[in-house]
This record gives sequence, C-alpha cells and structure tokens, in this order.
Amino acid sequence: MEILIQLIANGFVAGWIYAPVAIGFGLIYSTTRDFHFAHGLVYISAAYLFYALYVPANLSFLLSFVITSVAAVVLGLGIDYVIYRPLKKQGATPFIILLSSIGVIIFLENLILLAFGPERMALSKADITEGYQFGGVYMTKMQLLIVAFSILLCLAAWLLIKYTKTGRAIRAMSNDPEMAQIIGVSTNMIRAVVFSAGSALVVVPAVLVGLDTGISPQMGMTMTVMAAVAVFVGGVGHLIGAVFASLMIGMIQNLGVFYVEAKWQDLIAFGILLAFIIFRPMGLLGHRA
Amino acid sequence: MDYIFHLLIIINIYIIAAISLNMLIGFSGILSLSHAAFFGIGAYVSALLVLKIGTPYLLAVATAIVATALIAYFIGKPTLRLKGDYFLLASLGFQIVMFRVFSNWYSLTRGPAGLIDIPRPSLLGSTVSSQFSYFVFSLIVAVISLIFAHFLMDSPFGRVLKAIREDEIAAQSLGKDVARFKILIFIVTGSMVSVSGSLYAHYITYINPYSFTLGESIFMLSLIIIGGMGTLTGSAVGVIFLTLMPESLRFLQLPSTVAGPMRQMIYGVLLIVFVKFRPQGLIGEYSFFRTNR
Repeated sequence: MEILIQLIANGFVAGWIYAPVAIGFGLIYSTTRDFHFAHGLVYISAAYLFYALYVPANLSFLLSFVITSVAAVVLGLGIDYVIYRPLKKQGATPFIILLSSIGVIIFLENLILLAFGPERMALSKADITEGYQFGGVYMTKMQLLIVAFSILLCLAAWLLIKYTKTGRAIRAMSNDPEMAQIIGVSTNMIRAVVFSAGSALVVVPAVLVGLDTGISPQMGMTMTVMAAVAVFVGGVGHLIGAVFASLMIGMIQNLGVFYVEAKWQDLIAFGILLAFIIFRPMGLLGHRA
Repeated sequence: MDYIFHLLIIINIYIIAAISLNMLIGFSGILSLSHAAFFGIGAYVSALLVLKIGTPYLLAVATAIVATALIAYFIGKPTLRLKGDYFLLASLGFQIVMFRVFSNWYSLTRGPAGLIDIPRPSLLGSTVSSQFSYFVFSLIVAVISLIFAHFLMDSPFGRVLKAIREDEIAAQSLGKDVARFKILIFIVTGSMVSVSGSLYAHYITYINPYSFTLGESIFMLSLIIIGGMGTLTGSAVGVIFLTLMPESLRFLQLPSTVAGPMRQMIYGVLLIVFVKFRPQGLIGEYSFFRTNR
C-alpha cells in the first residue's frame, strides 16, 4: 500500500514536469493549428544551455536562468519567424509545417549530440538527496521544487488567459481564427505571444529536470510526444485539460509499475492515447466539434 | 565491389519502403508516421518464423504479409475515419507502441539484444547467400513492387485515391466509399513495407528494435519528401540520393561519433531546404501546398 502511494506521488511529480511543456504546446497548437513538434527540442536545448552556462562557464544560477529563458524565447520565436511563417505565406499546409518542424528537430537534436555527446548528464547538486517524508511518502527537495514551480507557472498561465485582454484574444483565436481576425485580433501578434510564452514555459521544467535526474538529447522528442498526447487527451484549447492529462499520464506511467513490469510503462501511456483518439477524440474536456 | 552491392541492396530494400509510403502519403494524402512499425513487423515475423521453427522462406514472408495486413486493418479501421491531425497522432502512437513491443516482449523478440543469425533466404533449393545474389534477389522484388505500384496507381483505384488526396469531401460526394479506399491502401502499403522489412532482416541477418523507431519512420518520410511525392520515379530517386549522399561524407574522414550526427544534421537541413524551396521533391507531382508551387 505504501508503495502504491509512493508511486502515485512519483507520478504526480512526473505529471507536473510535463504540464508546463504541454501548456506551451497546447497554446501554440490551439491558436495556430501548427504542429510545433520542435517544442520538445526547445525544452531540451534550454536544459543543455542552462547546463553549459551553469557548470562549465560557472555563471550564477540566476544569470544562467535568465540567459536560458531569453534564449528559449528567441529560439521558439526564431523557429516561427524563420521557418514557419515564410512557409505559411506561401500557402503551406499543416503537413508541410510539420515536416519543417521535424527537420528542425533532427538538426537541433544532432547538434546537441555533437556538442555534448549522447550520454545522460546531470548537474550535481548537494541537495538532491535531501528529502522529506509526508506520512509514508518520500519526496526529494528537488521534486517538491518541481511541483511548486510548475503549479505556479500553470496557475499564472491560467490567470493570464482567463483575465487579460491578450488571454481573451488567445481564446478567441483558438476557438475560430478567422472570426478572431475579423473582430480585430492581430493573429500575427498572438502567434508571437504564444510562441514566446510556450517557449518560456519550458525553461523551468528543463532546468529542474536537469538538476534532478539529468538530461540526454533524445529527451526532446519524447517530451514533444508527451506534450502532444497531454494536449489531445486533455482536449485541444482547454489548458486545464492538458494539465489534467499530464498528471494522469504521469501517474498512470508510474502506477503501471505496480501492476506490470516497468518496461511496459510507455506502452500503457500510448495505449491510453490511442484509446482516447479512437473513442473520445475531443479529449477529456473538449466538446464535439 | 561487395560494398557497392551492399549499397545497391540497401537501395532496393528502401525503394520498396519508399514506394509504399509514397502510395500512402504522396498519392492518397494519408499522413502516417507508423511506416517503420510495419517495416519492423515484417522483419520480426519473417525472421522469427525462419529462426524459431524453420519455416521455408517464402511461407515466412507470406505469413509476415498476412500478419501485417491484419494489424493494419485493426489499427486502420478505427483511426482512418479521424481527421488528419488526429490520425497523424494515432499513427505516431502506434509507431511508438510497436517499438515498445519490439523492445519489451523479451521472450519473443529478445528485446534490445535483438535476433542474431537470421538465415539468408533459401528459395527453390539454393540459398541466396552472396552479396551479388542478394542484390539480384532484392532487385527482382523491388522491380515487382515498382510494377505493382505503377499499375495500382494508374488504375481507377489509384485515381480515386488521388481524388481523396485532393478533396476528400468531393470524392465522397461523388459516391466513392472513402473509408473503404483508405483502409485498403493502408493495408496494401503496410503489407508492402513488411516485405521490405523481411528483405532487410534476412540481409543484415541481425535485427533489433532500434532499426524500427520513430526516427526511422521520419527517415522514410524524408526519402519521399526529397525524392518527390506522387511519382514513383521520385521515390527511387529519393532513396538513391539519400543513400549515396552520406557516402560522400566518408571522404572527409570524420570520426564515427561525429559522422553520425553530422549525417543526421544534413538530413534535417535538407528536409527544411526542400520543404521551403522544392516541396514537390526532386521529381514530384504533388507538393501539399495550397497554392501551386
């Protein structure tokens, strides 16, 4: 029984790692309907950049974090401006955008591979092993930080989308882009906003995961897929759904260990995705189109 | 000389894969990321049958085709009725699921360790063991596939598929059972690439799950993007180009840890460059752009 609760706790943490990344992907997809597959690469690039700044270059934590955040936003926006927008102007279909995104992924992932090698790297921190007990559940300090910061990020995102003018514009665009344009929403500006915000959101999970369990170049693609799954299972355009789905996926992946061998975890997650896509394509919170 | 035959054999194997994927995406407009999964199913079924129970090669391949066709049917039936983005995600999910099955079903597939000593095919009494004979063998299969694909795509069946690609709703309104056509082509192309997978397994004589990853699906996609979608010549050209091009890197004498990622980076750049400047590929008919580029 204790193991079960511990597994749920681990899953809870895992889910909160996915959540901000999923929100970022969801924001971009729901407003632009573009499959920004390279999102996961922005995430892992941020992780590696932070590592490079914090460890070999030995900059302060704060400085490394700030530079990484700016770089992530620049990268995300850059991919949009340099690659997606020109293609869209020429009339590209979503498939073409996806292909260009895949090209970006292949390029970036291998760039990281060349620069840092394929091995998993961790930034060692003294307080990783420090942990706390809550009634039978053990969580490390880093895990608690991950959850705390992710909750804050997601809350901030939710508040901004619900109560600001830009947030309303985002919601309008994800609901009906043409109509949004007609009533005066600048789709170009909102596009820039979601790409920046989405890319900025990944920095905190990237840094924390780097400090906690380590990073490897392949994690970029994995994270993209997880984020996409969370967004579609949660319901496109419903960010709370994406958070919910992220937590669900995290918990099912970890709980799965209790019932089946560890190696089948991912299979379960994707099995669920397939089930949702087939039987409830609008996701948990979506409505039939 | 052996090495040249090796390259040619690889080209033949991948031409079959590229043609089948082209029939699915380039001709019918069904965007799928699960091609490597079917490639792997063909490879594993064929290899396991010959390795474990000594099935004659042709029977093993036939069984692989049937197995893949069945799986394609069960996956395709519920997912092909979904909209493009959702089907794409479903195919992505299926690809990853199959990879996990290959790596985790240890008792059957020996997981990441893979299957070794897969025998070369023995047909009509003799074994196809030398590089040259395998080249001839794979060439024959590739040519048969090309002819098959040509006749299929040139037929009324193929024309309906192209219509579905251009405007699914219009095709439906003209009375064509779009769902049935989609499932049929999904099954046909899945079966074709399973043959390719079998050829691959019995040539290399060793397979492990890492040949059948999402990355491999994406590689197959780039074969037809760069080669050209909607034309069979395009597929052949794409395979030849992308197989031979990295060979030229050999002249640079890079260490293998650099050469590998370097080659991949070139693929990535090529993909972006082609999508931007020549979306119809080297020899393509269709470019997936709304305006006529």
